[in-house]
Amino acid sequence: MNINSLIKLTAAVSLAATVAGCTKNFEDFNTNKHEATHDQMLTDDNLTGALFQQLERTVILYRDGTGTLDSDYQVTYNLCADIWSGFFAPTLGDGRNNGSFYILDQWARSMFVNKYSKSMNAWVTLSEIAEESQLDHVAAIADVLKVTTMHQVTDYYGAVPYSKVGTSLTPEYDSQESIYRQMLSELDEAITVLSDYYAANPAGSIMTDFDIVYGGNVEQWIKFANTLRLRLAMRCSYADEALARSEAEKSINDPIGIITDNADNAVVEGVDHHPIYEINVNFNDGDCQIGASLDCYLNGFDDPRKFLYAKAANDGELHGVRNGIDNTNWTPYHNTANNVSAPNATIYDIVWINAAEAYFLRAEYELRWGSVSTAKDMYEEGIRKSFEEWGATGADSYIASTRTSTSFVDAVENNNASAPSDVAIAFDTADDFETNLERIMTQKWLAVFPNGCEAWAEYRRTDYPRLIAPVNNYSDGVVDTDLQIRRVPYPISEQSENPSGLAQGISLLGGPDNAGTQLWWDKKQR
Amino acid sequence: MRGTKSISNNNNALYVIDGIPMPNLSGEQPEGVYAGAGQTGDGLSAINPDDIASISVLSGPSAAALYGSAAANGVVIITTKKGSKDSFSLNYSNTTEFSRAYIMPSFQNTYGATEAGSYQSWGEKLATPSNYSPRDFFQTGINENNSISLSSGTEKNQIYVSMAATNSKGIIRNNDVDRYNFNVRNTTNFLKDKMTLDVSLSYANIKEQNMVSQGQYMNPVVPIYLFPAGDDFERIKIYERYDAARNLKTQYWPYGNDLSMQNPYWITENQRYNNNKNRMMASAQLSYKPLDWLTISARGKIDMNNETHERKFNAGTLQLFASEFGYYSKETMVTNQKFGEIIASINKYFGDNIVNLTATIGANIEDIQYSRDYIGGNLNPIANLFTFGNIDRSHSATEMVQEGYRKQKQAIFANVQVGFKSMVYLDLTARNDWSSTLAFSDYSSVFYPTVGLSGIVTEFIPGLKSDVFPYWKLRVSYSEVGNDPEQFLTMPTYSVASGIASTKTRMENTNLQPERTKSWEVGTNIHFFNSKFQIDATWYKSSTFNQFFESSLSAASRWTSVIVNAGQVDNTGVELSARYGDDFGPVHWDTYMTYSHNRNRIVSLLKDWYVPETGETLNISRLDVGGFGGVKNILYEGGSMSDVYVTTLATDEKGYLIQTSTGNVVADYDDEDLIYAGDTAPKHLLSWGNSLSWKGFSLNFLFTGRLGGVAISKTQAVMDYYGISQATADARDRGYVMINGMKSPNVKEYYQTIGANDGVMSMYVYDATNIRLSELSIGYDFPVQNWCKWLKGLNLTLVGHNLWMIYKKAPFDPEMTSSTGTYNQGIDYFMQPSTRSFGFSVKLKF
Repeated sequence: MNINSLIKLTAAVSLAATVAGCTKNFEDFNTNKHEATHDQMLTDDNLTGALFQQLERTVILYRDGTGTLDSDYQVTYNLCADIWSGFFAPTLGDGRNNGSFYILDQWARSMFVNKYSKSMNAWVTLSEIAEESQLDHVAAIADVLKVTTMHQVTDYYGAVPYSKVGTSLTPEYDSQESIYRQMLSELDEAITVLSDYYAANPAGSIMTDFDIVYGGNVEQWIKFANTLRLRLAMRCSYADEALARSEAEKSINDPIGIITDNADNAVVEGVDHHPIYEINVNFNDGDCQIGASLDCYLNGFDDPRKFLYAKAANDGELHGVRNGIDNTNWTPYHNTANNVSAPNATIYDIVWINAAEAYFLRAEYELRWGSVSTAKDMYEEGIRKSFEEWGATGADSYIASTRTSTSFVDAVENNNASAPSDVAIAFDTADDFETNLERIMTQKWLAVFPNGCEAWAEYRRTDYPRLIAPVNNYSDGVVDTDLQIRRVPYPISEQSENPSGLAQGISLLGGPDNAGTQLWWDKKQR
Repeated sequence: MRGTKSISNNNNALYVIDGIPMPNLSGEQPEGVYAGAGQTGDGLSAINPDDIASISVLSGPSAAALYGSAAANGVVIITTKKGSKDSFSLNYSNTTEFSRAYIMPSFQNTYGATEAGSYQSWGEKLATPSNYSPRDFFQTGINENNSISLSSGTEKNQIYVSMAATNSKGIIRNNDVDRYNFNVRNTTNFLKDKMTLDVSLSYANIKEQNMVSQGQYMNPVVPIYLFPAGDDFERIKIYERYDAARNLKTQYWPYGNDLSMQNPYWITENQRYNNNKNRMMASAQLSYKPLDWLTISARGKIDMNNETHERKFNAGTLQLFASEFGYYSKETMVTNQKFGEIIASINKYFGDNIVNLTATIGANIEDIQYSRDYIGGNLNPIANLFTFGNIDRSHSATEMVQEGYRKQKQAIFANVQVGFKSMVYLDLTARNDWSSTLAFSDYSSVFYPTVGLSGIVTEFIPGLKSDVFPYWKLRVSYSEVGNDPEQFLTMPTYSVASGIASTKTRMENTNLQPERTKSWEVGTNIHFFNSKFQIDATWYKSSTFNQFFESSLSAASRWTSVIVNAGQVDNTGVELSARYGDDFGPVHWDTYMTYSHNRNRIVSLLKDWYVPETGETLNISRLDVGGFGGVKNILYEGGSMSDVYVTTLATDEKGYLIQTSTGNVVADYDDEDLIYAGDTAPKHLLSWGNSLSWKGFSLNFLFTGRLGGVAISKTQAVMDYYGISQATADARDRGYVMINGMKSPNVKEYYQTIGANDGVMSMYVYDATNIRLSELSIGYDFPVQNWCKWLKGLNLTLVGHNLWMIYKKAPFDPEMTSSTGTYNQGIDYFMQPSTRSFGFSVKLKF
């Protein structure tokens, strides 16, 4: 730049400065060019589609490229429900954590924070748009997705904000009973709307370009919603049997019905792997490993799915880890040492609900309120569907097997435990109700792996499968070692951010805000 | 300066170079447990220190009328060198300094590893103490600066040209910084000296490699500090070994991946962070003095910074950071500041010099454009081929980010000073800013005034002035500064990443108004003994209102946070300085002391904040702003912005420590039970400097002291956990630790509880007080001009920095910081040790 042009520049800039207050470009400057404005989102259905997909992507959190990380899955599921369901064990920290019933708020709060700020955030706006634009069918699926995601939240904490979300920055809490009743009625309404839509447009599809689960297939959404309603209905079996039974019957008797085929499973494909893989492989050489309870059942049953769920340890066997080990040196439990089993690296899909679960739900329904021989059929079909889903063979001999769980042997230290259960795989209609219930729940538990969220909820409801207690219980007497964790305490931040809502939530719990308090649906007589 | 005022915005002083504010080029600061690798220097580090003629500091916000709202935190005014009239000089200087690791924690070398392959030193007592010392890993750092400058000129035209090269090696291998500067400045007078044109052009190229500040990831300090006593360190020096199956060398690290540790030599050799910056500044100023008392000047500047950051991790790097083939990322950041200003200045006396009027009115415009493009991801399929084409695009960790902004500020300002009989002065300033970041809001512009009054007491009380008491000045001022919000807050948008649009978890709040700082300042200057002894004292108080900050919300609101205009933070403080200079025969001695004290107080956070959408009024009196792993920066009303809260030991209702069945203590991780550890800001800062000269010799030394405040060492905690700290060996030698006044023999259990990941950080809170000899130099001006005609001067100076730590309690140097941000101060998590340096400088003048 020569001096002349500098002088010109100076003159030009000075002139511009003298016209201070010329601010007509300011709105343009202050609009982010690398993000989408509301107007841009209104093109090609992008706003509705983005919100719809955000609801789907956050039903089970995974690294989807938008900022949600595998570590969000880790704290939301893996270090809570996944380890309390017996599927996994934490191999990190110093032993005082959720695995030993010492609840860490930074993990316990994650479900609450993520679901409201990501899922409900999208749902509130989406349902407003759907209402304005009279897109009842979109609103119906949005409601189904809301229930899919929010039942996880109430199943963790109990009373939580539900009906008032979106109307207040400090919403009231609803009791779990009223949330369940509202969720069931929302599903009712959604199934009606979708069924009407499907009848009128048999070839029609909804949000086709955005739906990452069913590609807009309405029939599959109806099956999914029915199956979800069956899941929620059975959850109420001990708290309100009449409600449970009537809601379950609605789904079973629905003309389109529940999921019966693996092709109708609700699945989100993980971008690379299921988050479990990242947590195991990339987080400190194994932040979690296969849990001891899963070890006892898979090994005891000689389950053909064994090495589809988990990798063999260095001795070619499957070895799990117990919760609550007071460890200071995790190296022998990590992947490099390979003394214990990591989850299988080839798990990609994130499954919300599968055909096997649907069959086991029906098996339980039949066992409770129908025919025990139908229950047996459903139970066996559930096993077959699960084998089919995982590509395992030998279902028939497995169904006939009388094998039971084995005792647990720690491959590294001495944290051994006796076999959790002596109930065999083969269904015997002559056995008592509890024995057969245990069979159904145990096989359902195996079939929903690695969905710890559902597995842990059903464990709390039914006590099945029987799980190995943690080595140490650091709950200060709050959590009974045998009953194990019953709920997740509320995030501590609610004390300062929503104190009145929280106080009301605690009063609706019917017990103190700790991990020992039983939820509304947790009413089985013990 | 004068305390942290803003909860969310930058609290650093503004640099003003030759009258023009420098854009803030500081990168992202490390936060949390993991981050800290790949840092970069700030914008000022591109300036050649030899080009600086003078530096002055305006601590208070009163400079804001001239330099805008960024000046609210004080201004550092840098004036660069010009050519000199009627003389020619050519200067060459070389400064070379050698630095060694200085303050490090105490390590034990008597207890070996728990078992082979373990990184924990809880094993048997060694037959002979280990000869490994973490200090051996650190090399001697060298910082060499060569600079040459030429100054020449006539009455009409002066020119200054300089070039400098700075090449430095850090105390960790491959931590290198190279800087090259070129600067030319020309000043011309014409139109009978009524017009002056000052043109300058400067260019800097900076290359930085492997700048690590702290943290767990990619930090060689972690495995170096924790290396098990008794293990063979030589073995890991062969950090890569040939993998026949792959036909390449991969990392050798036989210790597992605790804390994501890797071979420290692998980190320094095969995980490279390279920054390359090109900075160009061009400016021109034209001044015209049509009348004796009037000057009109116009100036403009372009400041362009273009920087690239590359990260290259070789195949064999821990899989958390790379695929089996490696990892590559590259980002390019361009900041372009354009500045233009026109000013008219008046300096006129009225009525027989009784009244003096100086005034400035002006208008300016500042336009900043910033862009950042980033692509990074795991490599596939060619190992160690670091190029975009070899990045695995199907992997979800692959990121492509593009961001940027443009913001513009326009201002008009005026400054009037009326002096009466050189006794009393009244200062008034006013400024109005129009900021693009307030677009779409109800506030298009911000107005802020200042007023100041000062008087020379010795002039208006007759008979007071004497040789013993020649000068006494009193001053008082009040100022206001308005500050605009960050860009884009007033225009909500949806983020789009990986082809997916999604909502933000931060609630929209476009109803923003400017933040405002109001401050009072009272001061005095007193001279005694023919002004040989001078005292300067200032008291100030500032309050910052309507702060922009990100308040957390209950997630049940479906947002996690919202940017609000709320809160008030006050700073009150005192600054004192005293200076004495005199001749004692041939010896001249100058000595000066400074003292400062600041008290920061959060008066309110979110108070009665009305939400029009829902009709609610929210109150939030707690804000979590920083910290990690058992240490938290939490803001409470009534507290200070540098308060730190830590995890502690569980106690029963009587206050006794709860003990386990084996007698061990119990950590209480509950967030509700965090205890107040203290304030990381110093209570008092002191310095005492001296300079003595005698017949061409000069001696300078400076002591600095910091009193009060706390420092927290997570490094010490982790070292305790791993059994590598001296404290754990002492306890093992002794055979017990004291718990509830009883001797407990479970030393390992105890240290692994308090030193654990989130640990019991209350055990690692130290008094940050420290006093040191921070600078010492001895120089001599050789009388070369007597020996050689063409040489005008030769100076040789020996210099040392940070030579003697006189008093210190913390296991690290508490003045070290890993962040220039507002929070996370005073927390050490494997920072590099502070250094002690010696060196020399040679200055030649031709």
